[in-house]
Amino acid sequence: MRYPPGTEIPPELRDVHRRAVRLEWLTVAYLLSAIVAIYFTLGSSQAMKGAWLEDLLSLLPPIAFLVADRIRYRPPDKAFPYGYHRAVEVAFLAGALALLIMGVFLIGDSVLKLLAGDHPPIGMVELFDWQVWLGWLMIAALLWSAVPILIIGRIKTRLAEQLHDKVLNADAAMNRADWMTGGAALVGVIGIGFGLWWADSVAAIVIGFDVTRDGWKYTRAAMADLLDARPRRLDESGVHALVGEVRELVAGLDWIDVAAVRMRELGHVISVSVLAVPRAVDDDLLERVEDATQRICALDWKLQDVVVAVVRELEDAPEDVLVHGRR
Amino acid sequence: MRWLALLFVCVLTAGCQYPRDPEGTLDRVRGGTLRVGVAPVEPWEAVEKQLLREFARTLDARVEWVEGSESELMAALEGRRLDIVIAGLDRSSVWIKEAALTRPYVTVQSVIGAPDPTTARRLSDDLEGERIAVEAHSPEAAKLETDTDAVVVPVESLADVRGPAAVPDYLLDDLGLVRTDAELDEHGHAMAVSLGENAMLVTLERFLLDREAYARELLEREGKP
Repeated sequence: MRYPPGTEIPPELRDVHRRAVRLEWLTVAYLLSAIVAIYFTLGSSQAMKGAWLEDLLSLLPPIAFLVADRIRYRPPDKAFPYGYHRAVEVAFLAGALALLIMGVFLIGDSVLKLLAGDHPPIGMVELFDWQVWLGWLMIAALLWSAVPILIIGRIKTRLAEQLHDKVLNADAAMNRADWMTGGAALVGVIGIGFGLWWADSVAAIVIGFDVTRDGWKYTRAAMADLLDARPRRLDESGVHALVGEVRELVAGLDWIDVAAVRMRELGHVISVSVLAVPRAVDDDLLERVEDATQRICALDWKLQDVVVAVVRELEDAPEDVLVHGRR
Repeated sequence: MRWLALLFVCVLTAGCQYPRDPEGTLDRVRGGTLRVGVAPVEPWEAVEKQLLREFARTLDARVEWVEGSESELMAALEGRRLDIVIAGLDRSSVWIKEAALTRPYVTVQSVIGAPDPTTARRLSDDLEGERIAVEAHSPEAAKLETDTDAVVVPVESLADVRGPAAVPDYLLDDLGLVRTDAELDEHGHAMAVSLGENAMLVTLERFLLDREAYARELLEREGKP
């Protein structure tokens, strides 16, 4: 058997991966420009503050992706015998927590402002002798922070699916929250213009709930990953299809009486360990184990750290993880 | 995008006031009464009153003046019993949470003035050990003491001073002083409007921004040593 490698992406996905890296660099550059644009038009609008905070935090996932990208291809060594795949998960948890905290803060802050009946003032500004209502500049800055990210996020979702990359997917989700935030803030600022002083805080609260929901979802997912939960789909909507496929494959091996199949995610690859009770012990057993390992690996490139161990019996194994061999 | 286009159409065609006031201050004042709180602070009272008299005229409004301390007036403004407060406020005011401040319509620097150009050049380089006159108990005196190593000479009235003095820049001409490069401080002066009354705020700001030179003129005329 080949020692589980640290390198993970198959040749046919290299191009996809390169595009993802390029896109993340582009995201960082673009977000910086949006952050600067909103900062200078911030004024005293709650929704603008929300949009700005969100943009600021949106920097985390792409940076985490780019940092993890430098680390995760290192081959396994003495200190890290499983390789560095999970560098991505550290980044994933950090990004998700940031999202959650920001959402809660935004809701709390805006509710207080709303209850206090704060009427946000938006006055005039002078730009090189040109007098303009600050609200118009806010609207321009928000459009710049909302429209391009909508397109970038769409592309990212597609790449994340191909690469099974959770950080990239969380990042795409953050981008979605980003343009929705921009849109809500836009409604808030335009509302202020129409004399609806509460529009701004209400928009910020709506934004806050959306951000909190995303944050909670991804924090839970990150914690589940750390607890070695079974692999889930990229968008956390259910069990990963490979779980069923591997169990099916193991059930089809005629030399296995019963086996415990355990799968977990290591960053964006999946690790499989099979504890198998053979029907009989004979000279071919070693060949069969090797063959089973290879067949599991061949199912999908994501299945990388695959171990099949032969045991005499399986005591106290939960029924759910057991697979009974078909004859 | 469609509602954004709709907004533009509304703003352009209807000619409707945008931004608008949540409490309708501007509509009420137009053709009615502008309620102005005034804190008696020289020379700002005269300057700002003159500006607001002209502002009221553009709105066909008459002005009702209410005198009081800055704190009283701000409380009344926050409770929407007043429309504008003038009190020689500057943009670094502590009232930023209770009231909306306009953009600065005039900026005043505290500078060191010299009796002649030669002294001015010397003072621009270095103030160490120089005797600088300054009005006793004034903010300029405080600034001079803490920020420079000049010898502070407090005087009761700047009118009789012959040597260099630290003064607000609008007094330089009156005192026959030459400006040096030594600046102590800078304040952008503003008026206060009720929070969130953005139509009122924007209308007043437009009025003031168009009259920056005029405001400066008023200040030079009203400011006396």
